[in-house]
Amino acid sequence: MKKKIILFILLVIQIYISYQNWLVEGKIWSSLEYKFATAFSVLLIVLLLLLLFKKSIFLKFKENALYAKMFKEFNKGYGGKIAVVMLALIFYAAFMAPFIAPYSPTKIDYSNMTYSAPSLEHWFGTDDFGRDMFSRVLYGARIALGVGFSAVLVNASLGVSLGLLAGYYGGKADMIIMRLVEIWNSIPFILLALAIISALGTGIFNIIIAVGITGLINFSRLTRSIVFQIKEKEYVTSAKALGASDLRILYNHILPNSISSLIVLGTLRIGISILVVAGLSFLGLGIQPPTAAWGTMLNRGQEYLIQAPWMSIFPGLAIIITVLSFNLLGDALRDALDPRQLD
Amino acid sequence: MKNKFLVLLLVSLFMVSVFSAVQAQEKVTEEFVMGIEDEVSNLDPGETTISVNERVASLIFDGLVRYGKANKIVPGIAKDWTISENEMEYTFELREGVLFHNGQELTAEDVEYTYQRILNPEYGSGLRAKIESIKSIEVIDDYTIKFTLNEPYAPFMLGMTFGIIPKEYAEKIGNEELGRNPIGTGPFKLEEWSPGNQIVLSAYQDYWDKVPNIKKLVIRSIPESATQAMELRSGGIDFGVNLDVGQLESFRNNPDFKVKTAAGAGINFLGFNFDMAPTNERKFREAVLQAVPFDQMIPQIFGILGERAYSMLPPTLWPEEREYLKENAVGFDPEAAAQKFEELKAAGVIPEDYVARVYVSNSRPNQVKTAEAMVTALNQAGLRAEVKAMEFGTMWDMLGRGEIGMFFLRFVSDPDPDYWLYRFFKSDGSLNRAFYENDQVDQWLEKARSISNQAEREDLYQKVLRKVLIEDLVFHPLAHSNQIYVMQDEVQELNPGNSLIIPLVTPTANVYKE
Repeated sequence: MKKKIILFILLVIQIYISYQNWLVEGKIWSSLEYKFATAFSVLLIVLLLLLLFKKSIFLKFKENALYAKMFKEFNKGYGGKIAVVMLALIFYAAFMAPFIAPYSPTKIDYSNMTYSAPSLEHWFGTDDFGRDMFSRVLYGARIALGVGFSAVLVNASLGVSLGLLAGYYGGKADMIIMRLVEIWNSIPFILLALAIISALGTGIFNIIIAVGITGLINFSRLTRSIVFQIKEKEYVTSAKALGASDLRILYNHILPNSISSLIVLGTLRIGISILVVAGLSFLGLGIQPPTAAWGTMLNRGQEYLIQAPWMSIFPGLAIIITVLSFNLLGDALRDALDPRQLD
Repeated sequence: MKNKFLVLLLVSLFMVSVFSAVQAQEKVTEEFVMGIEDEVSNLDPGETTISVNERVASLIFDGLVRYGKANKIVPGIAKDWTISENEMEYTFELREGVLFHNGQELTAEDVEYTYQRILNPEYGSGLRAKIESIKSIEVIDDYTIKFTLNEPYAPFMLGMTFGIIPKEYAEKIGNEELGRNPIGTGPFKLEEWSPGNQIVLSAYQDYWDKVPNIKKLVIRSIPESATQAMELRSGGIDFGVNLDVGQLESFRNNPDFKVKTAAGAGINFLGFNFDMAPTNERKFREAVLQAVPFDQMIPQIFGILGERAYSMLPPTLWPEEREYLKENAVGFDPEAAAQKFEELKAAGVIPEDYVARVYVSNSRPNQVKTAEAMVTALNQAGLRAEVKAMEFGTMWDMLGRGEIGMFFLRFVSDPDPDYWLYRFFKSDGSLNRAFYENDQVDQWLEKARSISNQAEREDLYQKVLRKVLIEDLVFHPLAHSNQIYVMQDEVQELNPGNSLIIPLVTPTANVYKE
């Protein structure tokens, strides 16, 4: 019953926010960010309605022994639960930023371009252009998550492919691929990122590439070692005996069986990527102002560290909380998805 | 008893005088650390078109003449000079016994070599434009040299401040090496240069003028304003030149520090490329200027660091044209700007996927901020825009190749309008990064430098300013930057004046720490 009440309250809040934005302010479909927010909002309302009135759909998952075990493991510690709640909030902020941010993140009040301390009007204060820090931090979430996820996606698809090939074929292929990956990895990250960005220029897309193609070694090594274990299993041998092609074996049999470890690594890497992107932005190589990105905001804030500490504290906190949440989630997932317990 | 008192009195008097003499001696400062805003790339006095290079090189080299109080020309290595009736012949009489850092004596030969080297077009010095008018240089004897000009050139004397290099040494090691291992006659000599870290200079004991009080001078490049402030507070540097408005406040009311200002150091401006679409379109440039509320932004961003500029020339320089330029400057009108951008897009002048990039040097925090605010305003007016903040050297190279459409620059020069305008707006001007070409402006500029009638020159420069700033909108002046020195309280005799040099040892001052 208590759960139902909470869900109901959430539903009411969500519908109210949607009503305010869609009907009162007419922000529905006019720009890309509104489209995202609207779609997310609709999705959320449907999900909440289902949870409230048609819970039976979700029962299927609960009855599955494997999932039940996972849930149990996951719920053992507090870390995982806190991480899920925090990440849910961060995702919500990222998608709904245009709906819930009280001010525009880039609009400057040209008649009053100066910082002010946190107040009721501006919860996190304003920056040196008089822009609302709360709105900027909210908008920063979408950049951080977007870039973090895309970078890890690039990183994982490259690293996993290389690892699969190296592990499955072994021998010379393994030797060549892994040595190349190791050589690539031996170039210091910052140097490589600098080189890539100075060659391609700054910009969100180039940042994703720079972060995405460095540090391949984590994914390829992990994948390779898992493939080494799996390829000796009976089901792989039988698939081979049945005449399945290498590609089919790799993507239909080996990859799905190694996915749990990859998810854990991916989660941890997202945290690292967010940190790296913030670091690059802080050095002025990443996302360029006036776009609201946490690293860029920190860079600006350091000039006013003494007079206006809130300009650095809030984006800094946002980075810390996000990265911490991803790491906690990764740890909890590692426990929950531990293959030794699932076997 | 009385005698005893007298003796005591006399003794104490004597002691005081001895101690005060010792105190005068104590002006000697073992080490002085200075923070500058950019990396020094070359110390060759022929390559000092970049202001940080010039500032450090000016400590190592001396010119025939130098700047005194209020930027008046006073004797340097040349103790006297005569100018012929027709203003075409300048004869300089050099001091005897001026020694280079390697012990050689400076003679007229070295002076001739220095100027011939810069005049040589193959060497490609940015300073050449200042002395192009020289027809011939004649060494009369070891201590007398005569410059003959093609035609009278009003600001010629300012070109006589170039650092003199030793002929023999320079010929032996070549231009490339000279920029790394400079030898001059200046008050300081180079001890050690670790690029990216610091430059160490030491007092030159045989300096012909007064020997510097500072025995060891460490120059560190600290581009970040906040870092410089931090270093000042922690005592890491004694003196910093690149502090941001936000930082200055905390120093102004602090008794441990001195903040000194001087007006009109340089001009910060926005420039457009005339070789590139769509910035070559006047309508586009006007729309950009209308879209951005510069009048509101500049005072808030620059604060005491600068004042809103309407002219390219600093307030201390003639001609007095600011009122006209101010009244006729393009004002803030976002609706008109938005409409113009619409029209330009419809006409295909602004391509569909065009993103206006505003380039700015990341070592100039105020310009970066202005660029950021400007980009925000442009986006609001319907033109997609972004800031490109980069290292100055890279940006300068890109500017030279004509790859940049809109850019922020700061320019500092000597007190003659010719220096401020000729190089930027003459078709083949050495700093014409806007690639602006206009025959009439060329003629005016050419004429104004060849006559010495003040009123006529004023008139011509007025015409040039009106044409390029109001009619053609080549540049948009943003702010005259003030020079701000922040130093530890114990630093004495250091006053901002001429913006091109750091006046550690000048005719009127010899900096020391108490």
